[in-house]
Amino acid sequence: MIRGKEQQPFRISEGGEIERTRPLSFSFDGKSYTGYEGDTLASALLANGIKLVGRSFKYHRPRGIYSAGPEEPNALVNLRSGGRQEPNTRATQIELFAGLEAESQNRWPSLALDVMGVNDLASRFLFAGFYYKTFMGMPGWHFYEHFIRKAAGMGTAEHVSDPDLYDKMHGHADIVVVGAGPAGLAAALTAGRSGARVFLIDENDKPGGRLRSERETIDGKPAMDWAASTLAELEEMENATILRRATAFGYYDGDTIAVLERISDHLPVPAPFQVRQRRWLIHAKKVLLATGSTERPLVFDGNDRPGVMLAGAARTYANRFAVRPGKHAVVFANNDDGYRTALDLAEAGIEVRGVIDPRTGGQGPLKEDVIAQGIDVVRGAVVVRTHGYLGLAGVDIADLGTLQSGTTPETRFIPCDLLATGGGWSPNVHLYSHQSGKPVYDSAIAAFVPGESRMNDRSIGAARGRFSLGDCLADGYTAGQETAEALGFTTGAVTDIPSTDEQATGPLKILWQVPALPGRKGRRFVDLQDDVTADDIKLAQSEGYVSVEHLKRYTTLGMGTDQGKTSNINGHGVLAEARGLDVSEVGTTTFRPPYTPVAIGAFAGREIGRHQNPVRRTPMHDWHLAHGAQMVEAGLWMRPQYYLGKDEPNSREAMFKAIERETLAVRNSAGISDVSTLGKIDIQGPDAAELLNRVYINGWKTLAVGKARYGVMLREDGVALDDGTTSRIGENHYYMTTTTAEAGPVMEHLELHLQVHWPDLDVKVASVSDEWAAMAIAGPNSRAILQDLFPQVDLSNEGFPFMGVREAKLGAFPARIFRISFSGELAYEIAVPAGYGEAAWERCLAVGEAHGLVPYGLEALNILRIEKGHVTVAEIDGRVSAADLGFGKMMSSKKRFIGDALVTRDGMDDPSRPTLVGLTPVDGKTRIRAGSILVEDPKTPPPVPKLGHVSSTAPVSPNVGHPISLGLLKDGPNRIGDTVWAVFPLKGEAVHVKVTSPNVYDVEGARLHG
Amino acid sequence: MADTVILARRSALAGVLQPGDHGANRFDGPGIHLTERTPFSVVQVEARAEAIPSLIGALESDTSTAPSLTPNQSAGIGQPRILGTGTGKWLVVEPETRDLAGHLRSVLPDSVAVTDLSHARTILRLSGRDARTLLAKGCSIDMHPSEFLIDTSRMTGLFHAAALIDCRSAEPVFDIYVHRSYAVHLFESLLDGALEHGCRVS
Repeated sequence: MIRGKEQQPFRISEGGEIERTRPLSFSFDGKSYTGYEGDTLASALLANGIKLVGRSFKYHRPRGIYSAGPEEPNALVNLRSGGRQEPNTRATQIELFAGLEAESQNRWPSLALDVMGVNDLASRFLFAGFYYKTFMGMPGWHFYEHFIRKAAGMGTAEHVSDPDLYDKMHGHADIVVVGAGPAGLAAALTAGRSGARVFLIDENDKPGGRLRSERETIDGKPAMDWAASTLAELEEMENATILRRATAFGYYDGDTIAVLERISDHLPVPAPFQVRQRRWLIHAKKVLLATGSTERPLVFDGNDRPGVMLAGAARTYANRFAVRPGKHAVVFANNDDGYRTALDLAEAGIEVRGVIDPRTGGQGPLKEDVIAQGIDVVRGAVVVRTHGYLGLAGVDIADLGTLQSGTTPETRFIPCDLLATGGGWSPNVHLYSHQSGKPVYDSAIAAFVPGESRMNDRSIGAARGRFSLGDCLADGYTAGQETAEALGFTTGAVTDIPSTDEQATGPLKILWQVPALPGRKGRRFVDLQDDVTADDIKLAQSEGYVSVEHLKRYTTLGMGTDQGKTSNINGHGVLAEARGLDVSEVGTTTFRPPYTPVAIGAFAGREIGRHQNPVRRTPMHDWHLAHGAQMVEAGLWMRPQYYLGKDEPNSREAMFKAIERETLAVRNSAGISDVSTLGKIDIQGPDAAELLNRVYINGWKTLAVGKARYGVMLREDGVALDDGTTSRIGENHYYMTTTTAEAGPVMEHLELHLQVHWPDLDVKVASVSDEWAAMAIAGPNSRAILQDLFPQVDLSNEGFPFMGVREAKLGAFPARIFRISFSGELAYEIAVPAGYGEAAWERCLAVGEAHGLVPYGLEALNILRIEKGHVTVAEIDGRVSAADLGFGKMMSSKKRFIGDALVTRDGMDDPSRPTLVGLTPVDGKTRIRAGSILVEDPKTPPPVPKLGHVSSTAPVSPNVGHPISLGLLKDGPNRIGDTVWAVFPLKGEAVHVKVTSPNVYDVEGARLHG
Repeated sequence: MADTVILARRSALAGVLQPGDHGANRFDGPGIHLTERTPFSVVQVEARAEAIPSLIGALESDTSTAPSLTPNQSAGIGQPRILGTGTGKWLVVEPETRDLAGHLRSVLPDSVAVTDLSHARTILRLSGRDARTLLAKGCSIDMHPSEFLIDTSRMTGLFHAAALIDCRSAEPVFDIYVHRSYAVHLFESLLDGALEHGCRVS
């Protein structure tokens, strides 16, 4: 691997978790490099000496790799290309694969020479609230907005659709353990041994957590040996499920944990049929949050320069990836991790030129080890400034006490290309916070720890501020045992908590910011991703933004793809100092899901394209498709809109021709329409008529067997719910139909009342909507067609009157015939069991051909019913009363029914309420758009009084010769013959319309009887 | 007119259910088997609380299968299979050989509501080693073998369609009852979710 070595000048010759026998080539900004299997993109870039990886959000300052995990604020890259392109991906979490392509973001024309870097020079104008103060409220904001949006933002999204599969899965667990570091592994192990169903979720490719990054031992052996044997035992357990590359991104009600499992993200391309990402919802009885902690940066002048890195990340690169993140390092930390880092970096062959420790004393024994190695330890000192431009060239250090006293201290320059900084660790309380947990401030670690739990969760290990390995293991073993026992599982005493050999550590020194050198205007970044400095926070505070939530919105502190993982606590610390308060008094902002960004695809899963919603098909669906039907969505159903002739191309003209053809056929000969979508409810029992009497506004006690009746239902509040016909098909047996749209709600309405309010009624209801295929045959020739279909049935007006119902055989098929009409023509509905629907439909058409029978779609059906003034869901829209629709007289005064009390309240019986009317264009030709507002005069200066609206519209009505509409108009019955205007401001339309009766065709109803 | 129509049902899945192996070619064979059970008689019987004992007695004496009084429990090996779907409510299911609804009306007390749903339901049989995983993709109830036992049947949402899932065997084998109008949607969703496991449709 000599070639690989040459190409990876910062790779340590041995150690680490990488597979040196498996080199992988990849490209960054078009240039090829080599890394190893086991690398992340970040570690591979560092191995190749690449330190500049991006430009910052606002100032376009050069930025490098800052962390080694999900908290990364800087190293966001555009991964892959085409439909698989993924912007804002954290290089620290991208597992290297062969052929990986990544590009830096937010720079033009190149990373090294970015013209927007001019923002950095202009930074004294781009202070907190700059855009609000400068542009908002100014004339022409929309003009500026375009340029501001172009200059801001991070990556850009691709417009090509993603070719990969995303799906969803449910999981169920007794105990979910989030995080497979030492605490999580130990907890999962003891819980798993009890037999409890355990899910262990970890965001990395393999468990271990921080153990992978440190040189610690457990029971005298490398800590990862313990992790490996623990994992092996867990893998053998049938009751344990381990999700790798899986981020628990949300904690929701009912102890539901949302997880994103990245199944194929580490592969160049998923295998055929392999899922790329899977979003889990895991329903848990107990949740153990072993989510670890995140290291805080230190805030000082120039702390964003490429080469400045979190100390823990520097250890990760050296220990886990065998990469030197620099050649000459300075370590600057306010706690003993600084010494641990110095030792690890020295061990990795990096020359450590000093450990800068703001504390004057109180350090633990590691300090002595560092000194013993000949490394310079400077106590009571801080880094006050960094040098370099595209990369770190050195740091200035100075005495903290002098600086804090306000005098200019002497500074000392130390040349270096790596500055490892650490300000202590903050527990990852995100998931705890998602379920309304309120974190509490712990001054000993200068961070927030979980407070009381609102659900069945318990935070363990570093996630509750127990940072030592021994504490993490003890916490894990104990929590696993106690949690399993709380659920009734038996664990036995835990005796095998392994031993560790950590050194004691001294307390950290709280240092929210290193004061600026007197007279120097350098930038001390708190939030690297959002370019928020300590001075921005101070400015915001001085302008009155003293709440952490206001501070966040005003300065953008803690926003962006990292949601302030490294910046929040420091920001709140700086704010607290500015306000002269303790951090516990200013509090922290609320963490909300997701923990890290989740692709929209993982939320959509396979509910894309025609599976975005379930599609319902009638029994005649395939026939419609095979016979020129243009289908349209009606709720979840697909219904024929109109039928084109064989080989007739679809066009607007063809559509209008088809609609006209179908409409005329129904009026002149006969048409057949698929009405299987109507809701159908079977009602049985001695109290069936009583139920109908209570739910419909009209009376039902007198309906004879073999007869149907039209009825209207109200909601409890008196508003119209639905209409339809119900037939009495036996002594105690009724068949109710509802509109297509309200089939479900009406069924619920009946069930609710029967189960909750009227359990005394002896009646049962069952949905039979799917049992019956239904077809309406309408038109003057319909009786002749029915006679051919049912030669055994007397179809005369006397033998089978209007609203009559019969059971008969259609050939061999059992059928129900209803003489009801929606079109105003002589018409029948035939229902057959659904499996015979298509055959029955074909038989009707075959028999009807001689009588001019043609299929008609929804458009024709709509025109026919608008001509008759019949209402649908467009009128029964949840705002109208029965009286508004002209059914006021139907409301029985001889009985009680649902809605009868509230229908008389003020406003509901106001005679000037908008009521149903017909509308025709005064010029006899202009179409009226549905949804238009009815006004007296469109030229009235606003606000224009609204008189009503257009509910349904027929763009053509071949039977009356001009477009017609239905609408609801104030004081409607008294305005018939007047003219008003139908206006549609969005389209700039105003149509002068004449008010008519809703029924404009065959007003006497003579056609109904043939 | 001569009656030439053969009284055969058209499956809601006609033209959609394509027999054969679909999806990933697994070395250990397809993880999912999917087929339609048709034609079946599906009849709902329902009684008020006071009539439940007489309903159960009559049903048991007619079918030699005792309907379970425990909610979400099925009984019978299939001639018929009786699934409890609610308080005092069962589905009686058998391969179609007779007018089951008519027969039940004749043998059950008059107070029992008998509703024929034979054409309202499509029955899919789902089996194979990955069947539980496939159900977990579209259904939020716990399909673990220790929870969803043989003879458990539950009305639930499956890929956004209302479905009654009946566990017939621990192998596992499930019968899924779905409303006919949703059958194509559910079949396509199941097949789609099964592709990564390999799916044999028969």
